[in-house]
Amino acid sequence: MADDLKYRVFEIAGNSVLSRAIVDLLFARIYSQASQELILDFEDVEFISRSAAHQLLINKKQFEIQNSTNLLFINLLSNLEKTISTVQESMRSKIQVNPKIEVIESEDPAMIEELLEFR
Amino acid sequence: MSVIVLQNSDDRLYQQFLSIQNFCNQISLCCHDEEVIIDFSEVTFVHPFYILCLSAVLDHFNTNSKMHLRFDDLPSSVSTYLDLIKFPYGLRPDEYHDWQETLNHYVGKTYLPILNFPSHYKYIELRNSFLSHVNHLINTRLHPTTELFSAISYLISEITDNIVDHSGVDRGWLTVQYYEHKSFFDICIADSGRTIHGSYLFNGIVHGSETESVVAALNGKSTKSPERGRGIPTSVSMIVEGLRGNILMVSGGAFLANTKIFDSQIKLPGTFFVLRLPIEVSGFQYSKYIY
Repeated sequence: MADDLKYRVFEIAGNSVLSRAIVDLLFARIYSQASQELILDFEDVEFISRSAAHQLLINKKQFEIQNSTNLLFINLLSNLEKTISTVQESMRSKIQVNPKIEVIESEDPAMIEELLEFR
Repeated sequence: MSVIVLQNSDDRLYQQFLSIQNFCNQISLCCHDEEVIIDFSEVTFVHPFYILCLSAVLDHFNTNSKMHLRFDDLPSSVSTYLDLIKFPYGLRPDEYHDWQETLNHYVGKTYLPILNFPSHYKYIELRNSFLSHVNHLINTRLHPTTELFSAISYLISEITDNIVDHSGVDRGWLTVQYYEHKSFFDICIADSGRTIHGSYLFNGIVHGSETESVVAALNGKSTKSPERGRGIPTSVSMIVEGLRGNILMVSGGAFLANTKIFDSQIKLPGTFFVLRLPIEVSGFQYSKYIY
């Protein structure tokens, strides 16, 4: 595979991809050469946040449609693979599991401090 | 005019918030262009969360009504610590090119300085690099498990990304303190921006109260799109259920303590988080909480 069809994520985002904005910047810098395949190389990338993984999947889909190009991810560490696949699954299922929040009426300092005592 | 910084003798979080409220009440009385003396004479020791919030609050009031700040008569014990943690302006990577070298000086310490990162779009790469380096330092100092490190990176990235996307202000604030003998550490993140309620209003979404807005955020209701809004609910679940830590957040007048929320007497200009996490966690699976 020619080097100009492969982009190293580390060169733009470093070892951690932490925001939607850095993913958008990455995609602003990749260029389709009307090839059938482009590669995003995640070598040396150690972490991707959920938001960034979500943006990556959204941008991948848009990019592939607009450029008639396949975009592949390579050299993903297992934790990155797991994050991306988990987010992909949640996008498909559209299921949201939220914490059970209780709205309380009174502000009792002693109760609040007890709540926040380290367990 | 003099603004007195109250002494907090322990690390109880709610007490610290009450003192921050007291500080806000005093400084809100100061006028534009006034000389303001920040009086630390009653203080012998400060907690990092408290001082981070004071920095963010000072920045808020100073931005809105330009004051001339003075820090007189600092007790020497406090003065040395405040210098080390770079109070009140924090370490700003957009203004200080050797920020990486400066941060590396803290690698053996139990705390990081006040980190003051720019939220503007043009600083995307710098901010990513800065926060990545912070994650690296935390990893180096605390030696967390892979799962816990993923959680730490996740929580910092999600909350700081919310500051960038929703707060409407130029800067965010972050610090970390490790309580080695108590086996936990605090991650403190703040902004002096719109608040969660204000962010919904800015986007034309009206809730009956600030508490209702925070409940909506905790139920994943995004101001951007239906597919978004997962950052806060997943973070709360991860901390409370997964890590068995504590999360405390004040956004305007809405107060969240783990999974309980109420309209508070405390009303702060912005959104302030303390994440109190154990250094050792068993059975925690990071991927379970990012669904």
